[in-house]
Amino acid sequence: MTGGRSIRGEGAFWLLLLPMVAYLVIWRILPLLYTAWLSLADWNIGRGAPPRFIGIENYLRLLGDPRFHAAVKVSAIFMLVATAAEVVLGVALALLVNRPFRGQTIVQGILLVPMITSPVAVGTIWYILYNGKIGPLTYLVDRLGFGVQDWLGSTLTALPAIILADVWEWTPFVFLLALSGLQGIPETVVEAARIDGASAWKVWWYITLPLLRGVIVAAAILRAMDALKIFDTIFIMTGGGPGRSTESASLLVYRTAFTHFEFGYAAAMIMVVLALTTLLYWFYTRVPQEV
Amino acid sequence: MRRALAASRILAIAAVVAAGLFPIYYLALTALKPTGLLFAVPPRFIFSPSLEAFQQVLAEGHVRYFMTSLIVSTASALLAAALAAAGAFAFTYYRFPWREGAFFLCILGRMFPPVTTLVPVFLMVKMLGLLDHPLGLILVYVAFEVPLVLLIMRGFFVQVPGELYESASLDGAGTFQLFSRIALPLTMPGLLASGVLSFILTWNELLFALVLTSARARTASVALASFLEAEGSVQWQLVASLGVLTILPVFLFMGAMHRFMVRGLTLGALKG
Repeated sequence: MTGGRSIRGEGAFWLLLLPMVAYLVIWRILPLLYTAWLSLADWNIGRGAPPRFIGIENYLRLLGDPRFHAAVKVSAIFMLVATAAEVVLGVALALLVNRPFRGQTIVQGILLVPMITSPVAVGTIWYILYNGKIGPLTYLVDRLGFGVQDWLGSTLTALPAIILADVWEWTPFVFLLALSGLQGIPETVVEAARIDGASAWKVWWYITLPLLRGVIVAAAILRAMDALKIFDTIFIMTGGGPGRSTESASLLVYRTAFTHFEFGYAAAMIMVVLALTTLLYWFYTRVPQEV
Repeated sequence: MRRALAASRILAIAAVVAAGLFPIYYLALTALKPTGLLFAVPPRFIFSPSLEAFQQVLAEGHVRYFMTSLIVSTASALLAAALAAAGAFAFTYYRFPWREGAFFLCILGRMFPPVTTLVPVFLMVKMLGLLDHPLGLILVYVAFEVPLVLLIMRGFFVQVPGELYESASLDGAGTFQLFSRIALPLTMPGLLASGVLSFILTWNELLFALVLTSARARTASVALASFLEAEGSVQWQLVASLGVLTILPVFLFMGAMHRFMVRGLTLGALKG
């Protein structure tokens, strides 16, 4: 994408370019810099005093804030477990399907459904499914002999229940990516191995999986970056509860800024989350892009 | 062995499709259940559907949340498309110092999640007096969408053959004509696809809508969230029907535009 031909008429190009650049500077880049500055300031809008520069005090406070540690832990567990489950399930299903099949376009269309369903609706759907009075899950599990469970109301099951909703929403993404990766592997490579007498298992393990590695890693990092900022479904399903057992970092940022109005402290939290995301993004750019 | 493998493939596909659709099916089922059967044990799957809940949505004026969402999503998608298509055209065909650096800065938004700008953006919208106003949301969402459209449109512009511009230039077309008469019509599938994605992105957004609106400019997402918060006395059918109405436009839109999305991709493949 470095090429690009030039056409004459410089002034016109600037007229086409500048509105967009100015817009992004005003609404994305300057606010980002302002957040960075705010993370070094003490500013509670509720008290009415203007922001006051306090250096790295907010960050020091974060180091000793158990509520922030717990929130980062929730986000990290959510990110790791959800991403792992989605990648394993998505890739396994793709391997099982493997070759193009009749009705594939229709199935691919159906699989887009969970992904484009609004996260608020996803939260609503699973809130209903888990509900003891109107959802089918409690009844089913009770009939199987595990007793009545309050899935979202117990600290033991609330986070796994939310993760399951995320797995429903995003496994298709990994599945579709892995499937297109698989169908890009030349038939001849697999044929050659078969002729040499490799069993189906060996072909999968020694040829298909290594060739698919780039796709799998890319999908995993994309999912991890997205999972790290989880907000909507948790906000809907538990609001961070019971207690604070499902309070993610994004949820805590929202509460700190707009319930307690501690803008400076919230900005410091944002910068920490941003650093983690940037790290993941850096890994992502190092993955060879094969698809 | 071979037959077992084929059977397990079909089973896997069927299981994935069923797992993907069941939750949404159950949402629709809940929206259509008559009140008397709502709490029936075991849960009922067969009954004569009732439109009570949807009538309630109409009667209580909940339609206005969807109107707000529709206005905000459409307006921001159009604005973002205009800004980013022009910008992508300039980025593709005009060489200037630091071009790649500037481009990277512009798509930075794809990498830094919007939450990084939450507090300043709130203050800016407040300063403009646009809190709880659709225009405030539109201004903010455009900035989310521009990097996405820019990235897609640059990919499309690169594929337009240079000879087309050269012959049009010889016929006396200026830069603006090259943009509007040649580049845009040829990349329409890309513009439509990125427009649909932008629309869906904002239609589904919750966090900023929550922060920037309270009553008048409440979007469908925020309304749905607030109806669920009614602890203990959740009106299940109402919530479920609002959920259905939140999902439905996105599905319809995606279905109607599917042809363009596919065409957009095939055009890319042909020229690649």
